[in-house]
Amino acid sequence: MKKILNIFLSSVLLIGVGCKKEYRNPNAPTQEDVFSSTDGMTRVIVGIKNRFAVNTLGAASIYQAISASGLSTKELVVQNAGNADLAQLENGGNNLAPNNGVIGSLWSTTNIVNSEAQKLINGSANVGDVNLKNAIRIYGHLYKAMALGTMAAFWEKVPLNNGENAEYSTRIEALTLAVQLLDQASTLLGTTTIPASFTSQVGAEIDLKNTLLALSARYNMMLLNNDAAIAKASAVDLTKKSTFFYNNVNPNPVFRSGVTTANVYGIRTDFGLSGALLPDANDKRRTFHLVKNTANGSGFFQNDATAIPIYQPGEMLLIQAEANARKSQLATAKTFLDQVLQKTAAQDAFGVGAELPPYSGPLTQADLLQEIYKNRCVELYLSGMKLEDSRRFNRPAPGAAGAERTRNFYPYPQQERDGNTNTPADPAI
Amino acid sequence: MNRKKISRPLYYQLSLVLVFCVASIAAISQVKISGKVTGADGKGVPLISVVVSNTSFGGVTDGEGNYSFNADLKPGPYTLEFTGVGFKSQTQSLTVGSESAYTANVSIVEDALNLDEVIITGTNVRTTKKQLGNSISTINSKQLENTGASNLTAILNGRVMGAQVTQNSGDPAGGISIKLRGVGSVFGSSEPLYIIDGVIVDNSSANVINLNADAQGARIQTGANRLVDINPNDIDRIEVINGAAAAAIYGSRASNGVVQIFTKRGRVGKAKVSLFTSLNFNSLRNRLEMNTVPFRFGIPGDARLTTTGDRLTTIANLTGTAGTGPAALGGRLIEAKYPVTRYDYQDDIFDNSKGTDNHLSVSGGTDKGTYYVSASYLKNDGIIRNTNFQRYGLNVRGDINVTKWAKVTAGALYTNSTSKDLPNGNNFFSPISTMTIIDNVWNINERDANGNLLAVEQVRMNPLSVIETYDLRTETNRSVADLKLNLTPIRGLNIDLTNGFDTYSQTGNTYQARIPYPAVSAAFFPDGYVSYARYNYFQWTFDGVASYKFNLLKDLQSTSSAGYSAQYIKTTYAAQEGRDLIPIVRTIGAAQNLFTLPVDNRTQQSIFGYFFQQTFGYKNKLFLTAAGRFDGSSAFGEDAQNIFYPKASLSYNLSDEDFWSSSNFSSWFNTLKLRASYGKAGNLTGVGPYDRFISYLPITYTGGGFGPRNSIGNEDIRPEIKTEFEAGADMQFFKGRLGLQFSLYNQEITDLILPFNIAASNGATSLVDNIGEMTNKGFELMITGTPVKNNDFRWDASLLYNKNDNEVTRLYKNAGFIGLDATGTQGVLEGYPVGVYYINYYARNADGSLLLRDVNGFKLPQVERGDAATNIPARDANGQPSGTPLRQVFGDPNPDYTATFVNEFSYKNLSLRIQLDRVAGFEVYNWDWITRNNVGNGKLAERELNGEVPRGWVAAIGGFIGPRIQEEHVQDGTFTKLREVALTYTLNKLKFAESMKVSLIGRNLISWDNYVGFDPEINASGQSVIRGNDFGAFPIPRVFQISLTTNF
Repeated sequence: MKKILNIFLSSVLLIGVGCKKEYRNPNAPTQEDVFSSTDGMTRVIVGIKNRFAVNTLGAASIYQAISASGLSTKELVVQNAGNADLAQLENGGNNLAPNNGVIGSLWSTTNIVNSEAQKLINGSANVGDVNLKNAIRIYGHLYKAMALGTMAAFWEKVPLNNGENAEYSTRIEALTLAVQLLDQASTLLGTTTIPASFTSQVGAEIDLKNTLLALSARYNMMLLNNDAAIAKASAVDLTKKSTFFYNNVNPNPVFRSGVTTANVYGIRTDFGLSGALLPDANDKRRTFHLVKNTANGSGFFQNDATAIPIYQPGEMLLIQAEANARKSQLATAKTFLDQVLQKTAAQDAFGVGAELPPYSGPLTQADLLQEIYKNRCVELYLSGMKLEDSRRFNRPAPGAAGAERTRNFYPYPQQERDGNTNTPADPAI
Repeated sequence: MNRKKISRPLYYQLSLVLVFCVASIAAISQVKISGKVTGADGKGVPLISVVVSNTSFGGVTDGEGNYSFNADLKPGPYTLEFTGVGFKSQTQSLTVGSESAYTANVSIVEDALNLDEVIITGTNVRTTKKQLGNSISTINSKQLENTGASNLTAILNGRVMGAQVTQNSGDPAGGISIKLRGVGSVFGSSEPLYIIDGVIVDNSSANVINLNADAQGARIQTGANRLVDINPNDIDRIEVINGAAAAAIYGSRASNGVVQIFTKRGRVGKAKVSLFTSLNFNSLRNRLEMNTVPFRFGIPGDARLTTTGDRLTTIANLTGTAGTGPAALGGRLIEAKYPVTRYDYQDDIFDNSKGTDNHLSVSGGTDKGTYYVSASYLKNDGIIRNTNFQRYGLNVRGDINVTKWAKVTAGALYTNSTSKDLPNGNNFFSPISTMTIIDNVWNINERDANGNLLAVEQVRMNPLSVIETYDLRTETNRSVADLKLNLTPIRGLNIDLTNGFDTYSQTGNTYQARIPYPAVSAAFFPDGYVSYARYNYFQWTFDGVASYKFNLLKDLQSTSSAGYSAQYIKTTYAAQEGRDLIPIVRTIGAAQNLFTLPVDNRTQQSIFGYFFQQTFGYKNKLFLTAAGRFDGSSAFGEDAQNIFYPKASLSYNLSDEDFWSSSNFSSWFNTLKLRASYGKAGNLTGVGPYDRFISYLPITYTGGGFGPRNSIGNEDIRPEIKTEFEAGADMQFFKGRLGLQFSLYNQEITDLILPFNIAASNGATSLVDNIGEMTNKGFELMITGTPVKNNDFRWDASLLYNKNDNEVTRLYKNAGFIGLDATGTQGVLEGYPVGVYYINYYARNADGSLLLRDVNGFKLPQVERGDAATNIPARDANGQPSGTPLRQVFGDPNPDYTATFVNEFSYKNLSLRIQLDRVAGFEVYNWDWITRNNVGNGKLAERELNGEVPRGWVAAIGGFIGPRIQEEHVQDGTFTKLREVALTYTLNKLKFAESMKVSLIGRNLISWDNYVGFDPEINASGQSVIRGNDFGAFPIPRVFQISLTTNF
């Protein structure tokens, strides 16, 4: 009898085990965990970089920027007509619906990058160590600027800050803010000693100093701030490389999800260029970008592990050529253009070299700009910038004779419109 | 005595297990009670249990209706209770005096509705159906016999009011899903709670294979649902409560209803040995009609048709064009044809197969205790070559009467289940899909000199590569055990304590061999693929219920119950995938490219609740029950734990009133019970243990990182609350020959949880939150009757009809359409049922005819266009659609009603049971139909080849000339199936055995439907909330089974 009572009692005691009302998640940290420590924020920097560069948590910004820009400007061709979203971009115009998955994920991932980068900027204020504080802030500035710059390349208006019913600013304001963020970061970097351990944790493959300068040059160029673009581009050390790195677990997204499947999209012959823009048959960049390996890989998308440059030395030279040309400093412009044309693969940090004779065409602004544009198309093939370039160089717009792009700007994603009453009207084309 | 000889060793063993609970038994005078139970015809009735009320003494009648047992009773008045399935319970008083033997003979009458059937579900206090204010379905062991179903879940089909049972796959290890009264949750599971012998068991379907298979984001759950581990031969009875009424007792986990399963136990008497063995033959029930026209559009590239130009000629002109994209499609489709040989790949994929099911049980016992042990083996081969399912089982149960007032019962069930699988649907490397996605013009049996299969269409895979070289396996080791203590220390007080656990370890291994031919899409792993995954599940259940029954007044009986329940669930999931394989090795070590992070995911969750319930019974005809319950789960924040859920129910047995028996209709209208109940429940498993947090994904990148996710949680999320009202009646006519039961119900689910899409400018794209309201309104009816009954012949018939209307009545935050699958084909839209197809449709003229457009001289259909904001179609100056493609609702995968009609005929020892199932008014999204026509092997493609529709018609519908016209892909799934025919012959009193039964059973014999596919019942997403998804799912085989049951 007593023993039965014992069973009863021990059963009741067992109840206590089941009463625990809160279990911590051992698999993943919460937002609070992450932003309450320097170590947590350091790892979010890696997380943001991953979102921007790798398809692990959703289509990466760089992947969809390259895909969308490539399809809208005839750099890429759809391999299977069944890929309706890609076909919409390739066909462009009214075919591009707001619920298009490519522009949807380009928008959402890039907004997440912007939002998380802002959280880093805000979170850095609570860090005691001034070097670490600045380091976190600098990376916050870098990724926020990249997010804003990426969105400004595809949309007319952009939310600068995230939140419920976020408000929109013009792309000029977004690019201006991006430039400010980058320049502030450069200044801050001058007074900061980033601990080596910090750099190795967030990735030494990005040369912070030169990346901040190069991106500032890029966005200044987009803003047509010619002098600032020249100043920044010329300050970049062209021997330094900054890349997004890849491996088997974090595969090069354009290779893995794009070209290697033989069923998504592929590169076009002659970079998709024709007529006056047709590149010279001897242009060695043809070999670099257009010769496919057995896995359909080429250029910066050879295999799972090929690194994608954040900027190329050639871009800095072409920015200086373009800005000078726009300032009518034609001779100076030609010097920079010739540097690109004459550059050998060995001279380029990434092995991109045209190895062509210097520019011999007419020394007019229009001719020079066209040659600069052509070289951007070739040198910076599949860098995600061609839609922006095509607009900036006033190439034939959709609907015009010989149209070289299928859209000017993208419509705002359906999901954004459904959830944000401030979403601006879609562009006509 | 024989009895002792057999029972002693077992008793000894059980004593060892339960040694601590053996207590001294007070010696009271032993009396022998015996007698005979007879039916209306004067013949003895077997299997009637006889119990001395409020004691643990009792026995069961034998084949002649005789019973006899010993009881230790003090002198005084007692009541004997006689109960049995299909009979009205009967009581007889008995006064124990100085004698040592007593006789009690009774006559009992049949009861078609089983209103006096003892019910355990609902309270731990044994009660009768009569007292319950909610509907309950019971399935007894007799009904469980003579069915060819090897998965327990399938047995519920057609036997439970309000249940929709769907076999999602014909894979021998495929799953079945059940919904009681419609979809109860969208984010969480809609499946009922399963309880075996008081222990909550898991019925989920973890994906340990097919990790790379969900190409569509259709949340596939395609393996077996884990109730497959339970052998139906071990089941004694099943009780099912459909609604929130179940939740008041079982806690909010039962908000989708509860299925309580009782395994067999021994009965007092000599040992009984039962052997069941069967053999089954499976075959493909329905063959697809394939294109048979010996021509193909295009210009052949080479003899084997492997050039780019030989791809997709139905929808594209790829000849001589540089890319293969829409720019090329924009050109004129080729009208030239070339001769081809057309094949029917079904001959290569399907094969007839066999299976066997064997079960041996031994049971018996004395008045001190009973035992039941069983062992079983099942093996079944699939009709898709290279697939099978195998299960070993062992089951032990013992019941011990420790003292007059204490009983202990303990049981353990062990199963080892293994399966050989092939990728399920939702991708293009499953056996069905590889066949669907290529035109049927390649000889897939061709091989090179080394015996390797040859390439078929570029990019695609040879279906035989999948069948011959893939190796997918799962293995599950499971054990469910329980220990229950029942105490009746004083008269009227009953205490039940149940402790038990359900634990299993499920391992899956996938090996997809390297493909020996070139040009297969990298997405199909031509470099080979290997994965392993392991899912460990542990759930511990504790239940403690005390109830006290006494007479408050002479005619007013009170039963009070209070209880506490707690569960603790722990899961671990580990997985690794790899590709680029070295030869020979078939495990993860072969992979040279571990392209995903190793997965190691652990969860812990506790669920707890306590309740109080009070029932008043007036003169055993009017019962009023009220209950309240507090429930909480660690999946929710502190503020959302301990929510109060009330319940009330009323049962009025009108026919027990005096006026009824004195009326003249009482001669044919024998029984009328009215019932009504109201209950509230919160879905405690509606979100995962950690879903409420905003969490970052640990990633291996640079020095390690925390990746921000697209989806975020809401820490203040609340459980979905289901409020249900149900009312109904149970009626009996013509002395039990005709029974009618029906229920009307109305479920309102508020705070429905959904991953809700938010504007990305919030910094995330989806938020898991309480987002809407949903209702299920319905009607359930069961008619049972015995139209003919005489000495030798009997005809029983039953009709079950369930109607349910599901509607998402409100979405908060002005949410529009919320897609459930990645393609956004089906989802949630205010005012419509869950899972509606919200899709593009044909542009039509005012008279309803298709508004065609001219494409290269051919008149082709097109999508409707207009203003997306208003959904109003627009026309341009030429009268053609303009604007963005519009969407409309075209059907949903939830049936309007399901019905089952069963006829059972028995003549002497021969019986025939025929079950017809009808599922009506639901639609299937036929992905396979689209694909088959797009690639050319479908019947519409054949019509285009024959010129019966203009060139380009398939391309226009398939989305290659303008957006896809999805309306055409939604097809009516309504079907009537001859589910089962069972012919059984029983032989009694043989020399070597007590009885022997031979059955011939056919399952899934005929389906009457208009569906253009294998079977409208299957679902490629398996047990997921995504329904009606026909994308390469395995067809359900036709099965013939011969079985032999011998009782020794």
